[in-house]
Amino acid sequence: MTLSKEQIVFIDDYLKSKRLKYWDIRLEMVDHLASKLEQEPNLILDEALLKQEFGDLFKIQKTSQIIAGGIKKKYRKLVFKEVKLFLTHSIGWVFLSFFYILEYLIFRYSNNNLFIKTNIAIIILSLLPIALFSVKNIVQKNRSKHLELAATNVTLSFSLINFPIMMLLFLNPEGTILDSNKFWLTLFLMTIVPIHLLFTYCGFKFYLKTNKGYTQLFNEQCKINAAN
Amino acid sequence: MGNQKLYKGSLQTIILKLLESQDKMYGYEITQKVKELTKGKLNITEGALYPALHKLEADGLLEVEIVNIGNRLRKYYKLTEHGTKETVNKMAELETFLNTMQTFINPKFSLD
Repeated sequence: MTLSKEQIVFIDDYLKSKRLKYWDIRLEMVDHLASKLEQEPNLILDEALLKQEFGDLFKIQKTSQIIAGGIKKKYRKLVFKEVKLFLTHSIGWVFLSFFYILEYLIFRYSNNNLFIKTNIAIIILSLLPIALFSVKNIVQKNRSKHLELAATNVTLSFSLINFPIMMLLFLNPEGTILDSNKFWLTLFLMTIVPIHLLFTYCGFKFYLKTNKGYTQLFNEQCKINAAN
Repeated sequence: MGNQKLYKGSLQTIILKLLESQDKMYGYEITQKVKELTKGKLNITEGALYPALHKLEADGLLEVEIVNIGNRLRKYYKLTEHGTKETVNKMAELETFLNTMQTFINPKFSLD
């Protein structure tokens, strides 16, 4: 027997009530269960059946975390592939060279403090686009785990940069980041910021591709839910 | 039912082999086909299946097609060209593994 749209929405709402807020994770779990239930004749679809099939709240959350874990690993791999692909073309090396030359010019024609402040500003500004998209996704009611995980890959290199900077602060707790070990910080920023920009750019490019795909999918899902 | 953990390392190969013989399959269909072929001995849970499918997709061995089946969307998985070639390699690896294990199960008997 084929489940009706109302029954599909019933299953989806049940998962929503169990705090499974990501529509794309629910999509896979709903289809999996619906396919199973459609094999059963004389089915009575109610909460008791869904509780039996999905398990308790803990099991639902665990299943969704396992699925999300698979997506996270997949996207990490795909972003690195994106970076590799970018570097196989000359444009990738032009990109890197441009920013290394820019770093050198800023270092050469400014003082240490200005160099450090400029680089920190560059790092923060590079994250602005993904921050805006992430806020948009949170505010809208179509929270997608795929998009959230794609977004974390954009900020991956930022997270990695944070560690050495925090270490420098830790080693000089009484000073500010600008006082602490300027030579090493300057060298670190000069080396790492262009690489950070490369990863952020490739991560954001990948995010935009994913965003386009999943927005289309979400609109398709809404059309199905709206049609009666 | 046997020890399900023993099958864990072969799950991706099993999925590739199934998709080799079909144009495309969706998640539940894969679990049912495996259950049918193994006469109920191997039951793949969603928790095992979907991460394996995502990994194969990340490795470029599978691609996804989302189809509107009327009352909902369904994700179908199919082999890429690279996946079709890799399936042959994975099956050869599995065969080698089985031959090796056979020497432990039955040391006096060898398939070589």
